[in-house]
Amino acid sequence: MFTTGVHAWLYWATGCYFTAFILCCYHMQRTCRIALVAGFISHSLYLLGRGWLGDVFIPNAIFEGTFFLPWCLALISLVRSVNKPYKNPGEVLVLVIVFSIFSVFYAKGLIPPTPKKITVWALVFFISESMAHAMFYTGGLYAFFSMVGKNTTNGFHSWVVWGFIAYTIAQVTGAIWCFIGWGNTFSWSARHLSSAVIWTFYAACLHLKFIPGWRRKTAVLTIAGAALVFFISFSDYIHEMSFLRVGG
Amino acid sequence: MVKKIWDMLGDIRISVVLLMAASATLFTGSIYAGRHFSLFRELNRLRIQDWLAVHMRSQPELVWWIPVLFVLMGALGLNTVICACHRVSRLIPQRSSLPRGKFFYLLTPSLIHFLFIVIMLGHLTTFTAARWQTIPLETGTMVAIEGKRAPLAVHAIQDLFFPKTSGLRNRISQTTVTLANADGNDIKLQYLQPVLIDGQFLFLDKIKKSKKVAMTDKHPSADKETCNKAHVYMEKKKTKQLLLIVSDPGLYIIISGLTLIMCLMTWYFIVQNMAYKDRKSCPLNKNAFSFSKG
Repeated sequence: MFTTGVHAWLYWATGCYFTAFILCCYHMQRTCRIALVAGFISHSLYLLGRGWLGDVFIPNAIFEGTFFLPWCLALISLVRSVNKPYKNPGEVLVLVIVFSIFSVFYAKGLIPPTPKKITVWALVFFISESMAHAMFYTGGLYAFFSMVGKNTTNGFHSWVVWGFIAYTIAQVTGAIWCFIGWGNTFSWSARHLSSAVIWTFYAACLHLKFIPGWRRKTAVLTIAGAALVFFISFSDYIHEMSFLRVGG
Repeated sequence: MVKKIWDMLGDIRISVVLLMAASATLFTGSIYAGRHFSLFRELNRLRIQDWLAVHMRSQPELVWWIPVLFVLMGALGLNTVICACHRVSRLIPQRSSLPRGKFFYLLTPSLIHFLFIVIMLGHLTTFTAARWQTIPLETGTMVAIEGKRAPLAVHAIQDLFFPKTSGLRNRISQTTVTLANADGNDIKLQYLQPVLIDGQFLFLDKIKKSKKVAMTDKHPSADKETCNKAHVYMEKKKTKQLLLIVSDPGLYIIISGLTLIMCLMTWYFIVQNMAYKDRKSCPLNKNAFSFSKG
């Protein structure tokens, strides 16, 4: 594909997101949305191109967390700007820019997949996991705004709920993939244990809503949850930087 | 007194504390599992009581968190059952006065909690009762599977590679192993396509032949081993083709429980979202679902 291995598409997308953010700060909502759409299209094409990094189509590279997470956040920002045009899309754009910049400096090749990794279950797992992470980060951001008084509603709770559902889908598909590949529904490895850390943490977070005196703590825990997701997932990403890669 | 203890054990604040404690224990465990990959990998092929019996004596400083995790999950299970029973016992008398849809909606969180217990029990069954048997495969040899009277003959092992022109050349994309049973019928095995025979799943697996090979190939030693196995599935590598036989009585409980819990959760939150939007667009509509007291 014409975008395979051409990182200019990613740099252009990051530039567009940054431009969209600047335009948003100056309340130029319409041009901001145009820049956001341009960035999103460029980012999508770059991700598609990653599928051919090994010269044969391997979709796993498209959904690698480092590159797919900012795309998920850009999608959230885009959907929000369409659904709620009166709201400032700049808030989520901050996250899009931060994670896009990380992906710009990240190792861009494909980790050679073993035969156990080429399955639709793996794809659904990576898609739902990255989408859940994006929702947890968005929830954390809005929880922060609700704490500093910029946003008085508890809108962040919905992000946590949908993030938790997406994360549960990741756990189900991950369990099926793990069984058909390795013969275990739960593997005693750092990756599976840290997934369970996030799941139990957010399960606790969701239950806080039902304890009247503890409701205020929900915002604090939502921010802590986003920090936990960041620590766990980025420890993995940095660890995976040392893996041998092909293409890119 | 008994009722007081019962109520206290089912308190939602205890659930939050237990979930947080479980999360912290799992976090500690993930650090140990990351640093001692090969030690904890054994646990994927052994029953937990057998593994703990050895390692609690020899390396208690590395494995202490596993019994702690089981105690916490047990307490969480008890708390969840009591909490869900409380809720259901309050809901059942209202069954006749509520529309069927609303009654089911209100019952859903309790069903999700019961399913969570079922999944936990499924995992406990797997950890304590599942069996994993690994057998090396070589063409022309016979394979004896535990509990199966007649052995299986290994007819062929065929590796399929990525195209020579691609960046993934010399890497295995799939392997097909042909086994034959006593009746002469062929059984074809491939990665990610396990075969179920007599209640046991047959999988393909592959490992490096020895630590010595790993050292000379400049790959990580056993202690520094990671989850990345890309170097194992290559042409001309000294690797061993394995047959993994799994008998897991907890499997169907876990998979059906997880699928049901996911469907119920999605349905519950979609309905909740719709009800919230209804109330927002028409705050005076008293007939709209009122879920706040659910």
